[in-house]
Amino acid sequence: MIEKLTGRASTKSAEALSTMASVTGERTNKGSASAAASKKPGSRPTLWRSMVRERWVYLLLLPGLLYFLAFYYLPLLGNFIAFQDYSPYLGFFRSPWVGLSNFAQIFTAPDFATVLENTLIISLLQILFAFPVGIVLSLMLNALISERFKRFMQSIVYLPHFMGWVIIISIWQQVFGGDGFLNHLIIGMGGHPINIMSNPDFFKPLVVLQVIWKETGWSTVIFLAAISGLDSSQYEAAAMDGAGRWRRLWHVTLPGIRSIIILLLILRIGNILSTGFEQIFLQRDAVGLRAADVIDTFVYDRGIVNGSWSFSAAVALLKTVIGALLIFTANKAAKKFGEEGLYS
Amino acid sequence: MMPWEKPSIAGQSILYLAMLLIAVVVVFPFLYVIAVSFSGFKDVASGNLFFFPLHPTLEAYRWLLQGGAVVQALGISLFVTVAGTAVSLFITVTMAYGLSRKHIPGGKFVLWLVMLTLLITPSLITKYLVVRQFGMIDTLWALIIPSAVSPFNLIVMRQFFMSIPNELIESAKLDGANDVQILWGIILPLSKAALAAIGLFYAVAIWNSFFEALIYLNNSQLYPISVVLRLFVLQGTQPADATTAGQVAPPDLTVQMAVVVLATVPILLVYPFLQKHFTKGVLTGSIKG
Amino acid sequence: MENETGNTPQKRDYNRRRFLQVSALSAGGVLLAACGGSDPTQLAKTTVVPTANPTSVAATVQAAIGKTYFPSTMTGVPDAYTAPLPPFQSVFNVPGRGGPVNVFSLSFKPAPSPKGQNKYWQELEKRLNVTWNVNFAAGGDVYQTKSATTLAGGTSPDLFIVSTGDAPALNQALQQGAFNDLTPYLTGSALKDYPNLARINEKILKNSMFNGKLYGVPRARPLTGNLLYYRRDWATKAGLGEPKSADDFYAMMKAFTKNGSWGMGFASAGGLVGNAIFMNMFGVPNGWRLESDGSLTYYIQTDEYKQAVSFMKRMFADGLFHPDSLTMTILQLKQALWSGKVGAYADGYGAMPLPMTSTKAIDPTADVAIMVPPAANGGKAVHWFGPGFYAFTGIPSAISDPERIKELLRIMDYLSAPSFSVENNFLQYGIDGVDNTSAANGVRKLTDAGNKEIGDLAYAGNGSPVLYYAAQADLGPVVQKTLMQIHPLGIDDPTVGKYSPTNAKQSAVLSKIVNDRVLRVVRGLDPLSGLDDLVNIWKSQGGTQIAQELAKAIHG
Repeated sequence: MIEKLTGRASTKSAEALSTMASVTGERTNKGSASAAASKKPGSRPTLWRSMVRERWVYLLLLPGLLYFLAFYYLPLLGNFIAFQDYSPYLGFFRSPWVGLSNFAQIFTAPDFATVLENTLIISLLQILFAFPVGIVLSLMLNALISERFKRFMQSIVYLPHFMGWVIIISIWQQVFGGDGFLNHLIIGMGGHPINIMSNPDFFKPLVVLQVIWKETGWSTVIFLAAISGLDSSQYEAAAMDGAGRWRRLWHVTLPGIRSIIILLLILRIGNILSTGFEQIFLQRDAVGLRAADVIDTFVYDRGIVNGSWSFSAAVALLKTVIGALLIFTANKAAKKFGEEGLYS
Repeated sequence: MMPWEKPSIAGQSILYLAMLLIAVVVVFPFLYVIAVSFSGFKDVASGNLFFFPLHPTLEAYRWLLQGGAVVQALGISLFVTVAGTAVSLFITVTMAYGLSRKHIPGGKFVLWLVMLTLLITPSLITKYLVVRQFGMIDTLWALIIPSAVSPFNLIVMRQFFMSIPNELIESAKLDGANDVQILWGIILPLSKAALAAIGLFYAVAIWNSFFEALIYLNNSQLYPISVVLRLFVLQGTQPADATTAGQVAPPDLTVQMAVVVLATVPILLVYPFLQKHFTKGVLTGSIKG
Repeated sequence: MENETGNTPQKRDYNRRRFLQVSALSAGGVLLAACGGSDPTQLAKTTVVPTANPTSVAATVQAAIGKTYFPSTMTGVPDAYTAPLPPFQSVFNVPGRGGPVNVFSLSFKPAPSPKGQNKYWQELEKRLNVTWNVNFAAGGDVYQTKSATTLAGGTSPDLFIVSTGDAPALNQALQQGAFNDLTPYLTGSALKDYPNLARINEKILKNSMFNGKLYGVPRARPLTGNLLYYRRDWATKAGLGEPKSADDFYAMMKAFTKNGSWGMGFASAGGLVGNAIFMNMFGVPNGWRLESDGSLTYYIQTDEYKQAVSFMKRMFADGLFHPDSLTMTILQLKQALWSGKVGAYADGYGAMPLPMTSTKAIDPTADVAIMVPPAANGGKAVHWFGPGFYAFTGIPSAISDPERIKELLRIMDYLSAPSFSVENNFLQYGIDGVDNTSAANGVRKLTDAGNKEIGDLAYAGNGSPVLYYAAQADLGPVVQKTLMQIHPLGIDDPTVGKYSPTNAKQSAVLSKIVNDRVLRVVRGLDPLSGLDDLVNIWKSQGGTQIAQELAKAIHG
């Protein structure tokens, strides 16, 4: 995938290079031989020599590595409280060990199956509907001819992202609630009031609609950034070949951002057990646990409110393991389809 | 308009209409919030929707801005967001570049290490203890360092870096440039769109984050605006149990909405400045052509 | 009419008069002498001087009885006032010895202004003679997390507000010895060091105990539980008097439901399931019923509860509840009453005066009253008493120096100064002229500065509650009268202060399940038999064990 892009872009890189002071013009036509340039012809360098040669890369990796070790892996050690009956007052060393009983508690909770089902359905609906809408909106924005209108739309379409869920839900209530604006209209027209905010059967679509409303504009940021990085000469070439608007979209734009799309999709799948806590928590009571309880709220009741930190840690560990499996699988599947995947 | 583009009137009109509809749907809650923030209590108490203040008043803002807590919080948020974004971008960019290089001994291991963090949620208590160990509790560093890098942003940045043609880097290497110089001189200038996007992600996340502040800060004088907002909005929701008899009226909805406006507007002003970076890439190639 | 402590009304009056006399004499230092010889530090006298001569204060108070001061004649019902008493001093020694005091406090208000600009904060430090540092935890999930991180972290605060209602996990911490046992300091002769703490009602102290020991100073409240506030003016307009039966109540709710208003509202499942008026009308036991054989029955297992739920179901089906009740926050529910969207809602006794004053601000003809629960069709109405306190302030066990503990308790004593004392006026209203404006008759009103500066800085303590509403002065005695009608119906929760390890671990989840299931029945999603299913689930998820453990704790 990258090779294809590189190949087509070689003319562009030639022009780009000529504007840069750090490289001279004659060396631009390395083509595919450039891949081999890092290796000395013939001999394989030793591991040590490779490492010494790449020392700058190690230096650049260092700040991030330290960060992750300190703030992810070090606290991760603390997740072994999943095997304890942890009490903050007693601390790690004095809290009793209980083996796998926290994990057993997860699966034997009476409504766990429902919770898991709700979580998966909401996540899948989000992937099926919310995810593509962001791409569609980005493409629509990209298709606007007037630069000024495009800029204007771009800067308002992401506004909902900035509002906290508390405010958003309170406003949605005032519009769609039982005593809301919409119902006033309906009653005014002689109809029967509806209440979409407290209907358990509509809850999952409601959640997805809210997410679409809130996040679609924001997701265009990343897609537009990707689109803006595409080489315009490809468009020219395609147009000269007689490709109309839709063909250009299909054959230039979409392939161009395909790697970002796949990446985001894989990451989203890896996170399938997370649905976003606050949005659901605020509306859970209105529709009941059977329709609305998801893993994050399930853990909240038991872990945070009850103060059972061990329980939260157990669920977190499970999520990590399952998420890793999912990413691994999704990545393999992507590569089978010829995509670059998350890593090679 | 690009030379090869031949737009159709019908197509563009439909597009415009759709966009305007989207604009209305997306903007109306803001209008409501702003309208309420400039209104008096009585207009708001009935709970009916309106989009411009029926009887405009600055009362809510006046009430909020005297006393210093809100102004101080805004200042803190500004500092933390700017410093935090800088720190986050620095660590993200350096690591993303490092991870985008191929054939680095141990590189794949580090990549896996990073990818796993996408799924790790350290327990709140242990994270708190680690932050405490580093002496950051009750300092503004607790708002900047512990959440400095988002693994998601890192992976995306890496993806952007990987899409830069390898020849550029190889040629520079042959010229004797080391990776740091390459990062600074080649990669970054070509990645303005990605930097703008990821930088914006970080800035917004930092500006809106409140949970870290609530947990890591004991001193209420260090609260960023997001926390102040939250406390206002949640006020009046406590059980009547919790207060003694003779409750004083909570600041009404008008004040709460004013806080929403004050907490949201500053960060909204950032995006328009970054917008140009999202369109630059498309233009560069054609000008050279 | 039974008083729990066996005090006759006359005896209570006598005790009160004795107190007034003691305080009248105290300028001479009677209390100082009572400190006892165990305290080596010579405490400095406070520099704050009351504006009135103590003897004249006592005389004024006597004269005010029946005019602006209405002493309560029933235990658990607070005194009522229509005007403030002249300020009297209640603390005569500077409580602190200098040095810092770190407080971990619940909070329900926005953060106060920064100390540098906060005159109230600075003055508070002067009067307490300490550096007062407060770590606020806004109620709810923040308190749950922060209380845990504070316990787990190495540095312990000096004062720690413990609310096991908000964070059930703290029960575990109490059990494990995270807090000092303050019983020796707060009972018997030691109490004379802390005259304001000595006023706390004995029953409330007992309720706030954990496993028979006192682990903190409770924030005292009347025993009154949740009440129903309703639009009496609407009832009058509809030709209805005070309801005398459940049917009367139903008719009232129906009459209220018209023209964009609804009979009553509740805020989310929790607001409905244990809703005061329904529990009270049908005589449902308060949480638990202690049976004659010593076992405990949970309220959801009772027939009375089934009847209450049927009633709620009927009301819901007839559309008498506000349709957004399920999604409303408590604040929105209150606003619904104020703006005339609902005719009634349940809230704690402390909600006043807002139900009256805020509703009147929008509709000047409004009249909001507290409903005395009628008996449902021949049965017996009850009133669910509360525990009489909300949270208590404990001293973590990392503090072991008895002198330090005594110093902290003296500070708590100051913070618990009674209403209308010099100290309480300051704590609640701040610095005269800066944080409040005061009219000639002593009524203080918070200024904008006051609203910003005071916040919950002094949340750790609170004076014994009184029924005085500056916003509507005549309301105090009215509320008192209603409470005196309600309190005789009061029943206690027999398990208050009793520890059950399973309950500490499961209470939050169980109450969530109960709320959810009962709501399903009320909404008609499940038939009434859903309650039986609920009982079975409750039993299997720890209910049976909890009942046994609590019963054991009661019988010792």
